[in-house]
Amino acid sequence: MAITKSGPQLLISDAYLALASDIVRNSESQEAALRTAISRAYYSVYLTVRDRLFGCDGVGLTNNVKKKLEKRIKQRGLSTGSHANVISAVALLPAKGITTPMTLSQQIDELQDARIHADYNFGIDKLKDVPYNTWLEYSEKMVALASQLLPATKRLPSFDLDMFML
Amino acid sequence: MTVVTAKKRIDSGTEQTKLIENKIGHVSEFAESGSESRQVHPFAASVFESAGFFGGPANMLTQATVSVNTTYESQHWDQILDIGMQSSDAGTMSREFGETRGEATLFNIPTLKWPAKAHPILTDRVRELVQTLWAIVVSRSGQLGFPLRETVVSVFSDPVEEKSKAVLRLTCKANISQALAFWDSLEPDLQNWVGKLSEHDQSTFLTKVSMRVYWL
Repeated sequence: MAITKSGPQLLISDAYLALASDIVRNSESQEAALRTAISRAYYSVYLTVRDRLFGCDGVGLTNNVKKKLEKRIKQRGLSTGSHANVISAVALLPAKGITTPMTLSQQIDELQDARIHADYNFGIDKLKDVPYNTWLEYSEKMVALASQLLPATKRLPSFDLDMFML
Repeated sequence: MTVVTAKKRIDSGTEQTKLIENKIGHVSEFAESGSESRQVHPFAASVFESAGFFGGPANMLTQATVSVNTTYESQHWDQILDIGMQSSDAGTMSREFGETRGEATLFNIPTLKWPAKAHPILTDRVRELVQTLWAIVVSRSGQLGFPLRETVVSVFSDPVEEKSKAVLRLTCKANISQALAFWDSLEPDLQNWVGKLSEHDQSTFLTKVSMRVYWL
């Protein structure tokens, strides 16, 4: 795959989502593959958000920036952590950057929950709170969710510390 | 399905306008003309507000309609109104509505289901915040006629970050585009409400409460 200077990660994010879609469309996919589809779907969105906000591979998320961002995130009571920092940063975006920062952040969070279920929870009881009965159904829904969110995340503005300090 | 209708006695008294000014989640009381003030839970108030009971142009203030999924006299209705009210108040409210019931439907209100087991994350304050969040959600779903089918609270634990949060899970009979559009439509109400919370409550809400929308 060709990698451009402007956004190789974004292309890989598309490829992750395509892979996830292929898995859920394949009638022979088993549980492990379907769980993987959820994980790839989440990462396609998460990495896009990270790269849109902080540059390729999150290069703009330097220690100095991270420290200031975490301070701001904590002030707002949002969650910190490597993934949480990025997802919380979306919720902090001003209205001029995106029209629905809080709900977009929650929607990405829903994908992250699914990814945690898929990667860490092997007991079926862990899914009792989700209204989907099979991994096939759950993975179909989450891949669809990622497909809906990806275009919006590609339009996120670049990170600007001052913007978050408003 | 039984429909409960209340005809509003119009009055431009200050108590009513106070409710409109305070908006959802910050409503503490209402009063009808000629009656005494009483405490009303934000949920009940938000339902009435959404139904045009208190707000809107004068010509929309003549009637509010609330429907429930079971008979008017049953406990179901009391349960809905009993969230933040004394049972006697709920009874009074029901009787008032019962006098004029029987017209159109505006709301199908799913009850808020809580987990059977206690959990340290589900403190009284977290429960109150979740309840108000739910009120905002059902209020908006009523306004939009959105097919909300189930509202459930559960606790989600993240084994990586070792954090737990209370999650309000909404299940709707809609496609994904409709579900996300409904979710996005909550943004102004959420921003408005969260912005008015105290710093401590804001922090509690943002770290310990979350919402998920599932579509069937």
